[in-house]
Amino acid sequence: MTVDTLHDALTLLPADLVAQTDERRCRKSRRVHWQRWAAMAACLVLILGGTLLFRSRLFRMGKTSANAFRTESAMADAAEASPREEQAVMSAAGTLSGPPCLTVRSGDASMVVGSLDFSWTVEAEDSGSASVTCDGKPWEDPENTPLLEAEEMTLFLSWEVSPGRVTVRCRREDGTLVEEMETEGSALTLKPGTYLYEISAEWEQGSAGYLFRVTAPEKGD
Amino acid sequence: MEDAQIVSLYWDRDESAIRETETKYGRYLTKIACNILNDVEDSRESVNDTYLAAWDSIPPHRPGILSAYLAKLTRRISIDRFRYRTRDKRMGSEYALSLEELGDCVCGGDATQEAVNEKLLADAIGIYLRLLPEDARTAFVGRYYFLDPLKEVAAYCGMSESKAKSLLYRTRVGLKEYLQKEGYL
Repeated sequence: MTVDTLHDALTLLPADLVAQTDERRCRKSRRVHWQRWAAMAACLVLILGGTLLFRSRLFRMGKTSANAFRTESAMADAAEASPREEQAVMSAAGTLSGPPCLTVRSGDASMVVGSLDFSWTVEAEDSGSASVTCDGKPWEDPENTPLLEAEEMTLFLSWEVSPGRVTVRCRREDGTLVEEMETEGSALTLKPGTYLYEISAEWEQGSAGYLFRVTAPEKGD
Repeated sequence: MEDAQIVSLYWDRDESAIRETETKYGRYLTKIACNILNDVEDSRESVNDTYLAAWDSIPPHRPGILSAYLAKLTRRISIDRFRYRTRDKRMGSEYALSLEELGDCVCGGDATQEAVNEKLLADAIGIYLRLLPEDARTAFVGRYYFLDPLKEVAAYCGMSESKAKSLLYRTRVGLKEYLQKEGYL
């Protein structure tokens, strides 16, 4: 027998044997080319990692802005809704999250007045800072301005943290300016009758304005 | 188109049978022919001759597995063409390489007996191959029937080239021992 004879005999192999091998030939190898898959996995990890990092930075930036926005809107809401909200929070570093409320007292009568307008610098979480400004409109609704019925002719002003500078403007209820003064102390002499008192206070972190009415006893009361 | 439908076209003497065969198996048959002849033009001619041979042989044949039937025709035609064109000099091709490899399985014999024993020999080789594990059987048929390069055989058998090479060697040695035991050598 020669090799050619063997080959001719192979031509006559049963069809099912040929078909079996043919199926494997068409299926081809399923061997995993690990280098290809490793490269694809590495690319995927890089893409995912980059995306997460980018989103994390974006989130932190947004959070800082959101914090500032929240601070501003919280302060604005507090000032607009009720000037007599609770005191600003003092951080461990001794800074205030907002201008402190003003406590006014005359004799046994006292009330807490929240700031109506302010400009304040707060600390953000990632050691940044944000400035917040809120403008109130004191003359629109004087009837709803908080009123203190004073028992004495002296009014005492106090804050959680004393401001460096205080300016007092006394106005009639129609807004007409009667008197303006700067005071280093915390007391001022009231005028008999009802007057509007506009207090401007300044701290290192910012400034705030307060508005309230005081009805002082008339002479001879 | 399914194989049964194509065979029906042959039986109906519908010439679209050849067009359908070419569409479905043209590339498949060309690859087998190229493995043997290592020449595009010769391969194309062999495949065209295959279509003619199929037309002439179907009917009376009604092949159950059309791909295997056509592969057999292409193989035989391509090998004959190879032998005719390289009577004095063997051209480089997978077929030529396989001749060297299969030399391990044979020895010279009486030429007058060979034509008679071809079908019996094919049946004996088939029995031997069925005794082998699937990988060895696939590698042998892929290498020596389809005449695929060793690299491709290794790829679709899911093994390295060196492993495929040693597997084929052991299979050839085993075939020789089997044929000797059966009296063909």
